[in-house]
Amino acid sequence: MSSVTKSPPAVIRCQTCGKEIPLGADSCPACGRHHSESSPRLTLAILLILIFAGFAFTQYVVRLHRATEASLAKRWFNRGNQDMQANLPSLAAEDYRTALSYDRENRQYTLSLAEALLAANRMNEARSHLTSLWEEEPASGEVNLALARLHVRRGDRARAIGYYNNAINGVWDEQPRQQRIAARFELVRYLMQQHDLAEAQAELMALQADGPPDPSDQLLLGQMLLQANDPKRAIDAYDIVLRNDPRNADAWLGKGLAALQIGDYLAAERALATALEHDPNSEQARQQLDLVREVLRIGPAFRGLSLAERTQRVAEAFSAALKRLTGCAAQQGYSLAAPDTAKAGARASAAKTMSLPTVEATTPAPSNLQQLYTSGVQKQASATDAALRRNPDALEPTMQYVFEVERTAASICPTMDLTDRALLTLAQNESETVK
Amino acid sequence: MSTSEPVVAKPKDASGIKPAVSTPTRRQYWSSLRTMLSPQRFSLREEQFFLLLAVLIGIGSGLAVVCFRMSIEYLKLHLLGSGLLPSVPRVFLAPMLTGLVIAFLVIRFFPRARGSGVNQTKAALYIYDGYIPMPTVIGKFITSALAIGSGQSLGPEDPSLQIGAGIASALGRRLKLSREKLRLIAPVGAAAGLAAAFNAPITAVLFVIEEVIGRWTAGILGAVVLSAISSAVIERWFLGDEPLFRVPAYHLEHAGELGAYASLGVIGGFASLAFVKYIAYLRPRLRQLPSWTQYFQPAAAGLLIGLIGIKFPQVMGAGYSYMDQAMHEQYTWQILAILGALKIVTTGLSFSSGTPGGLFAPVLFMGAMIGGAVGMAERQLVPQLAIPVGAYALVGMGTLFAGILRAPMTSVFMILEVSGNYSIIVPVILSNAIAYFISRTFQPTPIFDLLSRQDGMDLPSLEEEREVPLLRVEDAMRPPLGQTLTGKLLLHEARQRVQGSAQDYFVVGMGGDEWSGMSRAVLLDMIPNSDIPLSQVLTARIPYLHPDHPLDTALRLIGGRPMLPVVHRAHVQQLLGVVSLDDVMRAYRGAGINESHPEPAPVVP
Repeated sequence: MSSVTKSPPAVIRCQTCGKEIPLGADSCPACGRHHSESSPRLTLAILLILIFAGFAFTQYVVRLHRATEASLAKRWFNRGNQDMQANLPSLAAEDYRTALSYDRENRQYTLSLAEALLAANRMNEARSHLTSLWEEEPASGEVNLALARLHVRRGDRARAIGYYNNAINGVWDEQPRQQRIAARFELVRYLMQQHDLAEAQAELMALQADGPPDPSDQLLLGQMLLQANDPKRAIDAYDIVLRNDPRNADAWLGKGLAALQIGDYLAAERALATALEHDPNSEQARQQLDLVREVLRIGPAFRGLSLAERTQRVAEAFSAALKRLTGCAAQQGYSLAAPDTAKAGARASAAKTMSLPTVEATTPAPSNLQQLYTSGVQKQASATDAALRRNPDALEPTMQYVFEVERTAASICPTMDLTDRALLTLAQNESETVK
Repeated sequence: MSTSEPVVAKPKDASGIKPAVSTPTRRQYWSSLRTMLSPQRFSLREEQFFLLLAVLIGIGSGLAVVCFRMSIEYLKLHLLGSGLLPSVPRVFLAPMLTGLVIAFLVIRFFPRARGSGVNQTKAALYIYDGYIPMPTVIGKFITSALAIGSGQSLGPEDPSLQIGAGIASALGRRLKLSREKLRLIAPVGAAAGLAAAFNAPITAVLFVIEEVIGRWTAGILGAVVLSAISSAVIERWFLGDEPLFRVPAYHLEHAGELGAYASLGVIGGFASLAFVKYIAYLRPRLRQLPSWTQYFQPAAAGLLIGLIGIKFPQVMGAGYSYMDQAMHEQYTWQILAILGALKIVTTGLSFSSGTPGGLFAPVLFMGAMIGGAVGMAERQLVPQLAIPVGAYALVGMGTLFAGILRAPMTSVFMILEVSGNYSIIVPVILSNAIAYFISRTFQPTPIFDLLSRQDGMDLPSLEEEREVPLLRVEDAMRPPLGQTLTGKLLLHEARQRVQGSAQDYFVVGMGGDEWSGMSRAVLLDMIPNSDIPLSQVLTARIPYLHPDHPLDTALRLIGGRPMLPVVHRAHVQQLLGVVSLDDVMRAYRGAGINESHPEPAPVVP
């Protein structure tokens, strides 16, 4: 043990009242308490024992307190989760905040708090918490994803995409592959909302290369590829699903739609028919199948058709287009003027022949409709079955006119019958091919 | 340390011939062991023992403060409930009813527990020879835990400081330290207590040096640092090493931001002033009331705080979690400003009513809220300054700390330590300096001095000492008139030179860094026409001074000599002037007339 070399003595004060005790006196003159002499070495020994005892006691107290805090934190966190499920984000934020006050280092609580604040539209608070978390762990996938969502809501596109990419390449504690795939899907959705199809397609290509293991993800991938105007890749994605689950009606439907978009109507018909077979209640499959069949019925450009069949189809399409044009004008209350008075009789007879509706319209039609109508009336004589047979070179220009009518009318009159939808589909695929 | 080594007696056989291998007996073993473990072998000089004791004090204080904090948490949980926003009945009743209990305990059992722990530690250092009674420590522990746990607007740091000081004082007395060491032991414990409370050892050391000891003393610094560190280690052992606040990321991106922080310094300075003036007004008036009212003053304060707490529960207790929220932009600037103002009101009520507890946490709370309010308001006014509000709140804390507690260095280091962010140092220094200047200009007496004077004590303060101008040798020295001599001069040459001079004493440059001196009479008494150089005659050397030396140094060195040379620091042989005892005394007298010692502020009755 230690001892202290002698030095000037301290003033001895009473332990109770603090008054000075004269040297040599045994008790305090003020309060009478006995003044005990104890050796420094004994005091040090007692001190060490007390420190050990204090250490053990403090350890016990702290452990007890920690257990209480952990239980309270969990309770408040669960309450927060319940409030979030009940769509009460402000209340949930308070609960998470309380949970966090008992377990300040818990990143999950902080993240949940930030998400609740985000849901409650308290952007600045959410940003502050998320920024703190990001500073601590910039590679965290969860934090980057939450920050991306924050910036999506703030309308900061560049930062949102940056954080989404960080999340996709970041560190995830649980199920990292699935989390990264989900984050990329979210990014694709955001890009599509932003009408940035090129970027969305690039992300979808990356997703396809990664090959989501989950069939539902593959299905989603196919749908998104379809939305992003990449039907060929969509078919690949659906094929992967169908390889594992050939009875998946959604995959057959998606494949049919993709084939329809490409212009592979036969494949589309097969796929849609199979989809309907596996899910007879699918209204979409039924409608799309009807459409494809109508396309196959009216389309004049399919291989194997004779000239007679082609001319007949073109003539029918022309007739339907002209009807669509006048019908649309009548529907919108536009008056279509005849090309000139000399031909007024021809127009009237044409209307009679084609059973065109006669509308008491007063508003002049937009110039494009009027031009198409004028052109149609002029073409009418050369667009009959017989005339087309005589002049097969007119097939192509006539069909171009039909497509032009269908496209224009679709932008003015969204409702249309099955034949017009079929012609519009052909028109769209035609323009895709041209592109 | 003693150098005595254990001595083992070497046995000799009867023939006196040393055996090849000597085998010690059991008795000899015991003897050698006793010698090895003898107190003399392990005896320590008092300085070394003091350092060891500082570590033990740090450990003990750390344990006590951890238990103290646990007690506060436990009481808070049971008195105010587990939610951050307590229920109305609890908010209303807990501080009031606990206030009655606290008043009873303080008046009946622990009368010294009320008041500032900082001042009591200072009083122990300067008045009571380091004596802090153990019952006061126990009382401070219990009553402060009750007060803070029940929602009184006070903090745990000040009581922790006093608990540490009390433990140190008790140990020092038990170990019969010398009077000088016993006086210094209380600040050592104070640093330990504060370090554990703040989880910030550097802050604790600086605060104790700035506020408690009041001077930089090398003798105590080592012990203070050791105790603070060991205490912080204990605190981190049990409670983890997480910083006090989760501070959002901040980088000074543009110098223009400093203008925004300067405005915070101005607002913080006036807020500090308002708080100190409010305490200075309210505390003596509450103490003047009849003594029976002291039983009800803490309860009345608790009632008012509870009423405020129904709408703004954030102002109750130490409020660290709410400071964290302010940093994370949970409140609008209006709410932050209201919370800052209400905290000034509630802390003044709690503290002036005699409820035991500290000012540190409330001051930080005020700073966080006012800083946050300024930050958010500025963000709305000048959106280009995209400074995070958390940075403002953090700087605000330092600003109010510097403005109210008037410990500028501590305030800067505290912010660095609690935030762990060194990018913020420039804004902190700027804002603190402005607030400190405003506070000092309009309130010359710092709050701790004000409180001690209200309690009838006049304790020294570092700030006031800083005000006293330090006299230096350059203030007293005069140019070297007449002849100066060098050691190379021959005796007869020297005689010739001094014969025509009116001086009685000459300083002699001996070459190198040595100076000597001789009187005219002695020189003239020597053999004339001698070719001996002066350096051979003058063997005694005299000390020399530099112009920047404190005048006290001249006073100590001059002794019985008529004068001392004042020389250039870079060229020691270049004589700049001389200084005599008369010169020194004249300088002191002049300073006494022209720049009188600042008068202490009048004691508010």
